[in-house]
Amino acid sequence: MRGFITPIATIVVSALVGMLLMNTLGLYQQTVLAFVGINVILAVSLNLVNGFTGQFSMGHVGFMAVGAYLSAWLSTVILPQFAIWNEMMAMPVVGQFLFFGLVIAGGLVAAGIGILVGIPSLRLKGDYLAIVTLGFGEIIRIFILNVEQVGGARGLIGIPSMGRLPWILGCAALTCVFCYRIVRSSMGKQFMAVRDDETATLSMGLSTTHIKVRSFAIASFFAGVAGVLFAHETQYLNPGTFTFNYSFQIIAMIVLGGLGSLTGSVVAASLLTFSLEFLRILQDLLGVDLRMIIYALILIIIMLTRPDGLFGQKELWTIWKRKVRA
Amino acid sequence: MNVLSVQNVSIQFGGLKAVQDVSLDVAASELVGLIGPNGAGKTTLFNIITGVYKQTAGNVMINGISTEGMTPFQITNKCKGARTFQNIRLFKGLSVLDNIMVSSHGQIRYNFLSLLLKTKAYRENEAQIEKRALDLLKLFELHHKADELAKNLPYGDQRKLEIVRAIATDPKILFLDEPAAGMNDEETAKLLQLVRKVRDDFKIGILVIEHDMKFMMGLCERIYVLDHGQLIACGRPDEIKKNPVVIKAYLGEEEAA
Repeated sequence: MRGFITPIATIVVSALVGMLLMNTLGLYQQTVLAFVGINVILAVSLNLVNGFTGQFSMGHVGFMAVGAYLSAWLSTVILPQFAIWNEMMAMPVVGQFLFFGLVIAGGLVAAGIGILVGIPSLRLKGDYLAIVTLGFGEIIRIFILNVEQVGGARGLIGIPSMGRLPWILGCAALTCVFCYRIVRSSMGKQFMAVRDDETATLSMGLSTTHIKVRSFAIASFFAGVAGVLFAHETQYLNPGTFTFNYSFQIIAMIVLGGLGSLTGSVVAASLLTFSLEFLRILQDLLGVDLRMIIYALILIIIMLTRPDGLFGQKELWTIWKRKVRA
Repeated sequence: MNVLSVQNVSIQFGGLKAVQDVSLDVAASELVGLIGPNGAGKTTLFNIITGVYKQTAGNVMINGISTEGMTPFQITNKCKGARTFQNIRLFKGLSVLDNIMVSSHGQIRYNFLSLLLKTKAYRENEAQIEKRALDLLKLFELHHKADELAKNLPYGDQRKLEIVRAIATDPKILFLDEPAAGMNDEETAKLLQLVRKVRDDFKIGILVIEHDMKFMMGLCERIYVLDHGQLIACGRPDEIKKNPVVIKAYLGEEEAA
């Protein structure tokens, strides 16, 4: 039972915090926090592939798009056709369970697509893998762009508001707990073995392709979950959201936090998402939009002073412990 | 039964016959060496045995199983053959203990879901894998360095760890590719004891490639000599030392006066 306590406690606490915040904060602050949560999920899961497994994927947001569009299509276009769905949605607690179903469905389908994309592309290394994943991310986006049923280029409107802050914070916390458990297990350490030496991993009797695809599928699952949360938070989807620009932002977060540091990803994702919003205040004061310039400067300065990212491959508490001991 | 049996193996790279019609055997818990001058085809033969190259002719049986069509990881898994590398290939960013734990993947009995939920079965299995890894490290006196990163170990310990890591996969035969490379006399002497210990404690067959003659003569029970891709001699170390064909291969022919 011990293993269940942490995840359940994490969900309960973050959901309660989420509910509290929903009742105290303004709508704008809530939206910012929601994006922080979503970006944390994306960054932590991408770190599993790029940081821990050492496979440079640039198409993470493509899998987010899969989760977002699939769930939005279900909750906006398909399921409202059934009377029972509408009835159940009207009930207070049942709606949460239905949303849970959407979250899992979005995650699983994204993971499935992740496996399909991963099997051919993860045979490649380095730059080639980066280009191929970038390409796959774009293919997913352009595919969606041409599906009229989900609005095509106009976007999909009228998505029901579900989940919101309690779910987003809950899922973000749970993503961290699960990813931490994965990288601490001997199964998860196979990811790092692949990162450190593929030839040696093979000669230890481990299939590197298998391990890479597994890591890719797990990351895609969480990206899909983030997509579901995103769709039902913003209540509007547009293929333009899921360009490689967004993937780059997530990559910036994990590089900044440290490839191979989960807490680093959490800190960096929060920091970058918040800072973009704080800089808006500056923009109001100065009257010119310096946001992206300052954002880029922050990245450059941090990468110059800490080339391994904020935490390198360490977690927050190991750095803390060492400081205390010293 | 022979744990390794190489039967008439040849490989050709274009017009170059790197290994020609080579046959060799390693019996269970036997220490066998493979020597030869530079470019004789030792490493090529090693790569054929471990599945990196595909032979153009002949057959390799490890533990009675033909390696035909197998990839390196399948050879380790199904045939129980493990190797070390000439240039040390550890999982540098992992701790010493984790290096062993990753290689003990054959012991994993849990599935992914029980990992996420940390079920009792998962925790017990992980504890058991960790204990096994620690026991192995203890046997080779690396346990006090269990938490150090592999890349921070001194050279000799890295070699040692690589051998222990190979043992963690539970092999029936171990392939050591130039284990004494870059070692001084003292380290080499220690390595000799180590390899002996591995054979005695685990009763596994060992095939070693090495240039250090003193090491090979002191270690091996039987030595094969390869030259220009062909086997030129096989026998006990003292026989090999006196074999004129071997001397000729290494030192060249005596000039006629």
